[in-house]
Amino acid sequence: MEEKKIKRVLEIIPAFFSWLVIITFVVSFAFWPRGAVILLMVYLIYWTLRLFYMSILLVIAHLRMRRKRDWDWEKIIRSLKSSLQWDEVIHAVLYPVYREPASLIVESLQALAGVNYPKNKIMVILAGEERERGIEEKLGRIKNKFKDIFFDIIITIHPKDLEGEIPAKGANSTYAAKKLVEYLREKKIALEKVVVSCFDADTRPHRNYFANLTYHFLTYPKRYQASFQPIPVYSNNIYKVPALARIIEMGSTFWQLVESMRYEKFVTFSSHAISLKTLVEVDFWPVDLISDDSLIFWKCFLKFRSDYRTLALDVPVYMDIAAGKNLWETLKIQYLQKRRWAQGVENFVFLGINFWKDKELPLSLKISKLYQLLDNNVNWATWAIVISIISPFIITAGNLTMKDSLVLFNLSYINNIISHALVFVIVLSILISWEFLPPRPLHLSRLIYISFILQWLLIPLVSALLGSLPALDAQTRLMLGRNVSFYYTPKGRYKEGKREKVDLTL
Amino acid sequence: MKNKEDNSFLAFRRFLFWIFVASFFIFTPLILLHSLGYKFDKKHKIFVKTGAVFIKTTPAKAVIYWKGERLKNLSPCILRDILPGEYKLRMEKKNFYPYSLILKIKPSEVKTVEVTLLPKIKGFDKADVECNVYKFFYTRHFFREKILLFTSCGLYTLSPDFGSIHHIGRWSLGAAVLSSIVGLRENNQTIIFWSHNAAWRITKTTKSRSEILPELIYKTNEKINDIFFALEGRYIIVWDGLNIIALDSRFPQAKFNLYQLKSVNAMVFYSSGSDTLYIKDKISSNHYSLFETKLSRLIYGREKN
Repeated sequence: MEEKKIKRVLEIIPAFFSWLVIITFVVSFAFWPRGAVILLMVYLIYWTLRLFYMSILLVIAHLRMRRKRDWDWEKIIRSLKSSLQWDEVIHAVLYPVYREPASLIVESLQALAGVNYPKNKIMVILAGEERERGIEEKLGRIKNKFKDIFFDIIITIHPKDLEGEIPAKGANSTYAAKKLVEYLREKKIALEKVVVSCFDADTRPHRNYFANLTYHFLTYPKRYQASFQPIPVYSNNIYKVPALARIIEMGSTFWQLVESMRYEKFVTFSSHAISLKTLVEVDFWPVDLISDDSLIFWKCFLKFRSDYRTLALDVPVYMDIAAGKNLWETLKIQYLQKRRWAQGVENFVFLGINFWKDKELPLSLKISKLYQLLDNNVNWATWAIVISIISPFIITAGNLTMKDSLVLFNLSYINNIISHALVFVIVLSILISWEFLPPRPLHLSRLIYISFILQWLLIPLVSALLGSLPALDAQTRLMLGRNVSFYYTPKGRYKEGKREKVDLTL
Repeated sequence: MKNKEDNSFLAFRRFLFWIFVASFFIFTPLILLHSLGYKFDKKHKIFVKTGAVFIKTTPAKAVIYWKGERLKNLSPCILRDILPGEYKLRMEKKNFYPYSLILKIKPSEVKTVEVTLLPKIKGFDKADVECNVYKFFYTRHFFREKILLFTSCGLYTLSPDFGSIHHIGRWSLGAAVLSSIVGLRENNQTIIFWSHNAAWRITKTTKSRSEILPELIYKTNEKINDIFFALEGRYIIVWDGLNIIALDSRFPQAKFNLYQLKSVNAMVFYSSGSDTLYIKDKISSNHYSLFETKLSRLIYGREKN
């Protein structure tokens, strides 16, 4: 009973603080405009400094990735002297799929087949859902196409409506990983030597991904107490999607780059890798929660008494930008996808409950980790709303009601200076984003690059609409106790409003 | 290897983090104090509250004079950290009439000055006068001719060629009063001006160093047609509707009726040189005639009575 109450309080806290930030600005402007202006000024200064701090980390992370990405990692691992040899390591690549077109999975496997790593050390698990009609046949055809390339391809079909599960990616991945364990035990392959890369169906690893992953796996002294996180780059279909979708996804990539620099706080996100031994020890991904990718980290963190970390890989994985057949649909899909990501706020509840039960972990650690999650979530849900919506509102409305106020005048002035300073951040973003652009399709004119520059003007709008708003929505739903189902982002590419035709002849 | 690399980077990142934290805690209060108008007065070692002025001209890039000194910045520009008080601001641009005004700066306030400069018209000079001009009167006193200018910033005297300009002082008369002024008389010590139903007087005693406090000397429900100085300024004669009234200069509230006119179409003229009052008035139903009398006789006779 008490646990239920604590859980409820934890569910309320993030939204409470997010709304508190927003309401404080609005209410103080209504009753004490001068106070609201001062508050806003402090907030803008804080965010400007924070943005510059993050920009420095972004540049360092980017330079590090650029420097190391193209090293001959295969050669490096071959020369490594370690308790475990590189050729003993088996990579299991898990693709939980649901309704993704066969062509998309085929393209992902083609990319997998193109990596600089012996394919006989890579096995593929195609994890389908029973809920999808004809899935076995679809995955069977794909398996046939690639059967001779990899060590093996296993197909698993996750039964629907298993007790204690919600229909979500985590449940499917867990089911597939359990089948993998059965398979490996049958083949007498030690779980300690297997590294599982849990990919999205559209994930295409960089050619050095496995060599780099193997390097980190072999060299990290506590290899079973670590997750491995590549940099997710959303660029597979970048030339085919609207600017606002490109911008928000580039923001996600940048955020992961920045986070990779704060490694003591770094948490797994989206496609990631982990030792199968560890995965078994923590009882796999959560099956009853939505944000499986980050929760797996916290499960491990608790299991290993906080002696667990996420290692940033030096190579990216490339994924699709979620998009629909028109701008409106893209907006809708992006919103729902970002809301699903923001449902990661449930990590705060998960961790809070577990910290409450755990009497051994130091209180300072508990407070610091909970604060880290709360800070991330509250800032995510509020910063763009405050900066892009509330700030212009206060300046505009203030100009009508308190035109002669020096502090308001100075707020406009500071806002102006900050906007100019942020141009520097935008230019930096343009330069770094250029790095992630795949080669331009030949049929596209070079003029498309103009839109890749101008798109950054959408940042204030996009960051509020597809950044903070979905996060606030997710937190509010959690606060109100509304159950949210897992949103499967539709994957598939469109050309002129129609699903793009890719060679389906398998 | 990894731990060593990690630790050195962590140290660098922590250093960077604390630099930003320190920047926040150092710069935020300074920016806030500055934004709220506080300025440190080195001389008195205290914080003083200041104001600012935002100057915008059309066309832009006008030269700005602040307290008579030319500023480096052209318009539009903002002047900050200004201590509360009154300041003279002047904007000049080639081929445009200059524009000057007196600004009152209050603490924590931004005064916005938006001025459209008028292009110079060939052959026309503009009086270089601050603020809004409501009325002007051309006066001749002995051999000296001048223009008296009633503005929102006070009273000015100008030489007829605009060559010299003198600000006599500010006042608190509002736009309604200033717009209603219809006449003015001046002698050595005094200026009297009037609207249709009130008259004010400015003397040395009603004027401080920078401020003029016009004295209301007469009020009526009729209509003031004219006012004269009489008997070397000892009396003020008011032609008010059908009445000719004398006010004692020393005590204007002491007034008495000199003459009752018969017609609204009557005319009155006073020659101070000969002390003669000329009156055109009705003598029968359709007939008017001209009369003359010595004003001194009229006044002293009345006083005796």
